[in-house]
Amino acid sequence: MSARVRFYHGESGAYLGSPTTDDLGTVEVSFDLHGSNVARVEIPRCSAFSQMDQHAPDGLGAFVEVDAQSLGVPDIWLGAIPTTQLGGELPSRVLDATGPALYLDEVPTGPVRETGQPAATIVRNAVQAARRSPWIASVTASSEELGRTAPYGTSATTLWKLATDLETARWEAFYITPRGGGVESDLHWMTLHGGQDFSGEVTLIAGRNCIPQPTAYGLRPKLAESLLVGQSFGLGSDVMASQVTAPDGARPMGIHDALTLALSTRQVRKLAGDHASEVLPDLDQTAQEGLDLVAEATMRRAMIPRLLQQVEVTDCALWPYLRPHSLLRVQLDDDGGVFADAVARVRTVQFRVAPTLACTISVDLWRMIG
Amino acid sequence: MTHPSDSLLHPIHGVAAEDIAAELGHSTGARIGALERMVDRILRYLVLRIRAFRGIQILTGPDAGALVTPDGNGVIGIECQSETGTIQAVEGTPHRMSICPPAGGGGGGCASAYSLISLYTMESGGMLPEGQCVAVGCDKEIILRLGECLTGNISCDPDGNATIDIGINFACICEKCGAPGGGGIG
Repeated sequence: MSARVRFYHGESGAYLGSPTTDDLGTVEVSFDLHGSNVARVEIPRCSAFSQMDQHAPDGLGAFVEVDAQSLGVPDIWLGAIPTTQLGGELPSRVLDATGPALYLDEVPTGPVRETGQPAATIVRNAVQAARRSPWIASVTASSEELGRTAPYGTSATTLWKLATDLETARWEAFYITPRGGGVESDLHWMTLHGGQDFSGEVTLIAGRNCIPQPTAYGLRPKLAESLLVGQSFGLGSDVMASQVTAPDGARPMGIHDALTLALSTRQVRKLAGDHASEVLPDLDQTAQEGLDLVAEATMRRAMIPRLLQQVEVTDCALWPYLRPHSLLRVQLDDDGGVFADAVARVRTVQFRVAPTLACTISVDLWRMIG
Repeated sequence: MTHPSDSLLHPIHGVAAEDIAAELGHSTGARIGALERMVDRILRYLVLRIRAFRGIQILTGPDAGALVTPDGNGVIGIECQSETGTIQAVEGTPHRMSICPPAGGGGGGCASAYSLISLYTMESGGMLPEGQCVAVGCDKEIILRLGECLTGNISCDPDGNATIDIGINFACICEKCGAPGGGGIG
């Protein structure tokens, strides 16, 4: 079992050739919420296939297909090398390919008069009217999407901009799946959370089948984010509620009011006098840690904001489930224990399919409650 | 597992890290991309909804097909020479047009009749009294072009003076104009 790389002509889509396993160095592919994202294919200069004419003839670039389904990669990767990429004196040539965002952004589309048609219908019409082949064989939609008809219109643009703009306008998503053995793909339109739910079948457990990776950005919220989290509480925590004591003469405060006021000290001073601020965090004086504590305490009790995490998946048997939009169950050993039991939506998946196997994913995390 | 810095799987420079950075608003490239998308969306909206005025195309008349375009201030000038007439382009500037009575007569209607009378008045070198004759040199070729409301006759005396008799049918003109009386013509 190994990955298969195929090259196709950049304009006609005609099959050009396929390097053997010996012709390949490192091969990595990445999928994002639209399907094929970027790929990196290393071809040693000693390989006969490293001749430029073979995979980027006529200066028109080439399509690149990476089929690693035999290794468990759920989708075929398909993208394009826009121009000739010379690698200088390096011992190998590295081809950086980009997914359909590259070539669909070169397919012009005409204006769309304001319409309530489903997004899939609008895109399908644009594909059929395109003067330059977008290599989209079909445009399908889930049944839920067909009911959404918010008015939409645009002037002339490109197929990629039209599709991504419709995503934003209709609050939906599309995913492009290559058919394999050629440069044609299928475009599927769905609701924003229309991915497959594997949370009952797959659980990523830290230390067992995955390694949560530290990121350079961390999960610690900024001051402003802490305030937003605190102010979005639906219910207050016992800790914070107990700190707020309404003095005589102050207006009655419910839990929600108390918590809100806890983060708005100036308002408390107005209502309850200066002595109330002694037991409440003052935004001007409280350290970041104090506000983090407030946020964490409430996150444990109530709403968990979506957080982002990068994870290295060490069990290759899980690869078939690692598809953007899919839902997985995650058990991470984070310090706060917030994500000891969480649901993850896969955002991006990176596979190294040659010569060694490896995989990383980025996910949205939500804590499971109940 | 460690990954080389140019690997798509690198924990700091890889795609997953970049995705998280972009989502958190820490990626300059993602911010620029978002700005580009916003500007592009605004431009497309403006083009679709607020179409720029590109001018007027004259579809009939002697200047049929001519395009009169707005100037730098988005303005087209119109020269009003008459309350009725045809729309014509103004030679020498693409930003102006005129509404002119038909020159030289031709055709019927009130405007034609007025124009024809005015033309003869100028050629005679003075006012053309109603029903009067005007003498001009007989060595000139005189061609009378008369509308349906006019009658005329040319005769020369022994001294070589020509006399043109023009009869104006004011009733005919007023019928076509829809105006009472015929005073002021000529």
